[in-house]
Amino acid sequence: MKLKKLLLILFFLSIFFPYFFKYFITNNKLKVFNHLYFDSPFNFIDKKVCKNYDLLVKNSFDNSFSVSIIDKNGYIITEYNQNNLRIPASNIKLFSSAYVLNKYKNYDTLKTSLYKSHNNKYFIIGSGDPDLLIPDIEELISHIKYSKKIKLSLVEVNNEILWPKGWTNSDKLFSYGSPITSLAISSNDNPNKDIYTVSKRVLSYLKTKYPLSDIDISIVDREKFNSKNVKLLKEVNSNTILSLITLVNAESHNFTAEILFKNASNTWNQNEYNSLKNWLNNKGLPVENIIISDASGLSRNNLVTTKLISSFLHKMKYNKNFEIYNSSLSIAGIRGTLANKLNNSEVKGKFFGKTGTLSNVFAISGYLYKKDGPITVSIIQNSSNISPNKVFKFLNNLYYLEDC
Amino acid sequence: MFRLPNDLNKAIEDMEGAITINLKCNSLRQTIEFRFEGLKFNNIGFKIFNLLSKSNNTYLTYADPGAVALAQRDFSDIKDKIFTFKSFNESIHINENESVLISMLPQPYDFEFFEPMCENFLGKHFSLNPKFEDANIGIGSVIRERRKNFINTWENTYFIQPINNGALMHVSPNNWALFKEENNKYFFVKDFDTKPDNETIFVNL
Repeated sequence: MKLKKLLLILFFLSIFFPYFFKYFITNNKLKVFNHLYFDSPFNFIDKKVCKNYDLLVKNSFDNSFSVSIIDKNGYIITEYNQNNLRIPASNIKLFSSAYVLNKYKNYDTLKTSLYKSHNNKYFIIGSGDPDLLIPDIEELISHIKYSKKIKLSLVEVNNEILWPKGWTNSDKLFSYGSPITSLAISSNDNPNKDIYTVSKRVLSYLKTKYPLSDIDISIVDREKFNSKNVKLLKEVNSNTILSLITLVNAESHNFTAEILFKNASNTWNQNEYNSLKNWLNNKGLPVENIIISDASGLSRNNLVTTKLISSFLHKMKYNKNFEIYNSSLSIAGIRGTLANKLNNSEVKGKFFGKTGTLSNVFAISGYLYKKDGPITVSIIQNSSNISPNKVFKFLNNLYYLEDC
Repeated sequence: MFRLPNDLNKAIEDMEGAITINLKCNSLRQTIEFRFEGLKFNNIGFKIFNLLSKSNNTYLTYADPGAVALAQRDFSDIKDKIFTFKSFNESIHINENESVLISMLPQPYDFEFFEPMCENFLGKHFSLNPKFEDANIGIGSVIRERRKNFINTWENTYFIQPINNGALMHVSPNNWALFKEENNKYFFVKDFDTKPDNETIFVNL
């Protein structure tokens, strides 16, 4: 009899659990469930009719825009072309930086390391530290001991995967499109400081230090490097993940976005971004037909919807690292790519977001902290005649619009 | 004789002079204000840090973890000295009354963490480009009064701002100086004991 009762209770609990869970999450009743919800495939977003918001969108934008806005309680309060696939430019970083944040602890660092094998060969292997300098490499090789014959290999990615697919040749000429390598000096912002220059500098340093040694410096494909039979001699640490994530989101640093993702997804030997799409999919987010082709958004092959971005940003509010994530974004009138926007508006300091700009693309997504609480906004325009000013005017009007 | 600086370097030099003098004065809370658009305030904050840290244990504080993260990357040599308002207030350093604190660009919406930190820190405290007034209508008279009292605890050390047809400058301990602009040249007009309000500026230009 008791067992029957227990089974009955369990039966009803299993039926009503999703409803309880949703109630606790949407009403913010039990914060302990928040991260559980973030990681779950559930996505509690409903639609609500808000005529004033619909009207503002209708009066502000033409068909080249997509818009999705979700209120603090998870209601879509307005949307427009929300399922149209659009090139998001750097708004892709909103996904990749969150992915990275979930894989690391905030104060973790990336390492550039010197190893020694059992047959006295040395190896330097990096993680793409964006602030790595020649003196850091010299600090590493200062730990190489004298020997008649010194053999040092610089381990680097294959030349064929230096750039993700969809980066244009003209982008590759600029520092914002610099190649993604693991032993980059100053994020490869100077083409004259590539791996061959590092190799020459290393040779020169060692020859000066050990003039009687026979020194052999080679560049080895990262794919062929086996870390099993080597011993770590010395490491140089990058800035913290927290600093690097802020560099990605506030300053929109493409190189850092790419190397962080490669480290987090363990994909240094290929340009592979399926793990990012799968990660979003596992969170129950609408990823149908989207294409993710890099971690920075410079690729023209990326295609996402504002519905996905806004749903994701809303769900991020339940992530245990949300405070850090939110703080890594640029802030209207204060910091990063939005530092000089909405300066003389009440929105100054109240919109935390990520911009995205490519030719024929303007995107902006983030959190607008209205008096009644934060709303999640995602806007993308793909057009030969992009109009960022329209978007900033819209954000200003949105701030003053009454709660729905 | 009052003279406007020719460039940012000279302005920073003037600011450094004013800070050095004001370090010895009794006022604990002092503001430094460069009212220009587009300046790299982190660099100015770092210069203030360098100046003060020569003879004092000095900390640099920001509103949020993102700003701290960027500053720690830019100035990695002093990353242990950089905090958010909240984390500094919760750290043991809040009780170091012999130390000097620099706060970067506190805004009205940062007050939740900025004000308690200020109240708990009893050492010398410099704020770069603070904005203390809150234009929010819904702020309430009690909070407004409290904010007013808080603002009155701050004294200005250095101030420079271009204004319509002129410029306003204050290099403590000198008076506030008003300049008029004519044909891209600035002429000293008048000095004041306290910061002139907009009407006084308008009448004198």
